[in-house]
Amino acid sequence: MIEPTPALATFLRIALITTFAYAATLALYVAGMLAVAIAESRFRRRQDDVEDYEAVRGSRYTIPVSVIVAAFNEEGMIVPAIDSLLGQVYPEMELIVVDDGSTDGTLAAIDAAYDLEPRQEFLRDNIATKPVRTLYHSRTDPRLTVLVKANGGKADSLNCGVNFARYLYLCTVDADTIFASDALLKAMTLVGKDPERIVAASSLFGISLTPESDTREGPRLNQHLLGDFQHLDLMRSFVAYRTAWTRLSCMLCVSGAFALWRRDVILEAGGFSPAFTCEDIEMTFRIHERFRREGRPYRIISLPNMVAQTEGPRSARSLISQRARWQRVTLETIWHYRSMLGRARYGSVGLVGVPYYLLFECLAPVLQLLSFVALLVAVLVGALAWPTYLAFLGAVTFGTAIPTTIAVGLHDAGFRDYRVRDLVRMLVLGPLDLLIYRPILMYAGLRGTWEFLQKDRRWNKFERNTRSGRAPAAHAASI
Amino acid sequence: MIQTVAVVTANSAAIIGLLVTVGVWFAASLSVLVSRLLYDRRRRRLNDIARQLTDPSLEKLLPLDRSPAIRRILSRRTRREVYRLVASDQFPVWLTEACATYCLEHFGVEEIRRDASARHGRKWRRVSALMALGRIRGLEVYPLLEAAIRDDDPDVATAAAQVLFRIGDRAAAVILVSALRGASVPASRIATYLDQYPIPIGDLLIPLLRDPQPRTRYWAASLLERYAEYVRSAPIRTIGPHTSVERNPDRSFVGQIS
Repeated sequence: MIEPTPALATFLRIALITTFAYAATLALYVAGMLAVAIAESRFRRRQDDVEDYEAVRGSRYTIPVSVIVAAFNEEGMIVPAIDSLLGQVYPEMELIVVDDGSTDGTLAAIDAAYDLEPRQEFLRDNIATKPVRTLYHSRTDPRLTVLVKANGGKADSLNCGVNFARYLYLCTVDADTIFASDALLKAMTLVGKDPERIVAASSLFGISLTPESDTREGPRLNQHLLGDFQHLDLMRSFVAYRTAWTRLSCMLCVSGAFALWRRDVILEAGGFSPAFTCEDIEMTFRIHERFRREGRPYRIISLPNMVAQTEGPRSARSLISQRARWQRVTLETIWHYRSMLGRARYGSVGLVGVPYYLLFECLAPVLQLLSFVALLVAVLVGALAWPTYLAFLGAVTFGTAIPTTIAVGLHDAGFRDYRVRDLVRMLVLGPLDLLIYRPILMYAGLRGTWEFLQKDRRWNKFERNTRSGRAPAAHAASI
Repeated sequence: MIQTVAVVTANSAAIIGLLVTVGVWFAASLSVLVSRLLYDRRRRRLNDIARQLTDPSLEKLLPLDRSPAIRRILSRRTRREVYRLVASDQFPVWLTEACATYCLEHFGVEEIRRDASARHGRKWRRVSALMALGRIRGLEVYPLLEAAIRDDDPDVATAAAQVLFRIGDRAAAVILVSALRGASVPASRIATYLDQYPIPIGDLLIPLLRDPQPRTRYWAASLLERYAEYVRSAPIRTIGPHTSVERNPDRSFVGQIS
């Protein structure tokens, strides 16, 4: 046993008090959010039960949607993604694929599948973007347009699509995502009930290692530990937390993999900002800030339906790279919109949403590391007995599994779409999350925080997962 | 001494914390699985009943009389659950019809009418009761639906529009058409139902062409597109009585081409 010096003893005291205070605050916040999420999920379930999707599907009065796909080096995934989008059971839509100066065969793959022909058309420039080189229309499906432009990043590509879009609502999606055929119908039916106020919407999506080859009915687990942990992570985030934030009117992240925006609001905001690492969370914050400041009525919602499967990293290294980027953009956004923190003028956004992001997203990796080190040192110097440490660790392990279990339960009660064996696997993986998955996220968070402090703005691409019978593609994922 | 007490307290708190969290996690996980298994069992039973109900030899009997099992299942469910079955679009029509008949038999029209007219709280019970009345097509449903479609709550109003569309008769169409003039349901949703309405309603739309609200005139003209006999006159009437030839040169132009 190590004899603690007075300085070490002081550090331990402060660190342990911080650890317990942080854990207690988190537990209280999570308990509150879960209670709200349960109420909101029940409400959505009842609403979904009586919703008349068939009438909306067959109507010529449904609000048309412009779907925008920003693609950069997506040769392998772009055609299945377009197939799934053009296969939507939605009465009226256009699909705009923006090729952001790809250096692989992205355009050739689309051409081979959809027989493109170049056209001369007038392009609006409501938002400044990199120049569009060529515009193509598909000869086989008139809904498909492909814009080829100089490389400018995802935000620039989306802005280019916004300029070209014709319809009131925009659906911005990732090019490595495969969509359920009723994704737009389900989301837009709800939006169509209150189009004057709903300015943005998002919906749950799952993680798959090879989404384009998964033809099974309903969502499935990957039977790959890391993939399944990511799948559970998204389910917990959407079903437990974002559902609650929707109820409390402080939904702060309309996820880029499937995001519906009202076009006039995007134009009024000046388009997506290329100054941030990712565009989705920043745009959500910007809309909140603007509408709250001006006292205008609006809603940003997150829906519990599983609308898509997107490609997630297979290796811990790729996952760290991706999550470090997410941590970086969260820090960039929170820092930029720090004026909303704790301000009653911004309502639940300033008092509930932003404090959550600051405490449990931005500072989490540092506080987690502090807790981990403090508890370990406390055991080594004899301030904490091993059995107490293990009991505490066990309590935290199962405590952090409870939100996952509730999220799985709420999803299953609403949709009954997973097989029973997948449900069992998800429930069992819940307690393992803290021991296997969270340490990876903690490291990624620390790396992202360091990159933020270094003002690093790189995308940090992760390599595509290896497909059976193919060499690993060395191009980027857009998620 | 104090240190020993602190150590014992920390130890006990950690162990109690562990037991509580394990207990809550286990109970929650078990309830998720049990709920799912019960759901799957109910679903299998309903499939069996569906097979019985579609037996051609039982065609002349009411759905509830065709299978004793369905009455048995419904008698074990609470009113809220039976209502939910009636209201849901996720189940086959035979099941919702059978549940509606069961509601009528067990709760009585008066009770359902009371639920359907509740103004405060119990929103979903109201919606379900309206749907039950819509399924059994009782005459008492029309005034209730007329009130519901003007309700401030868009869920109640949308459900009322849906029930009116399902009823699909002329009296229901009159209420739906009048809702085009203003309701908490977006006009596009009402237009969706009127556009797919099972009987011709062109004559009900014609008076809307003289409505003072341009929005209402727009919807009327758009919906009349389905009815060839009105197509030519619709735009002319829209412009007609609320404008003068002097102030609106378009009118004289329309007069020439008509």
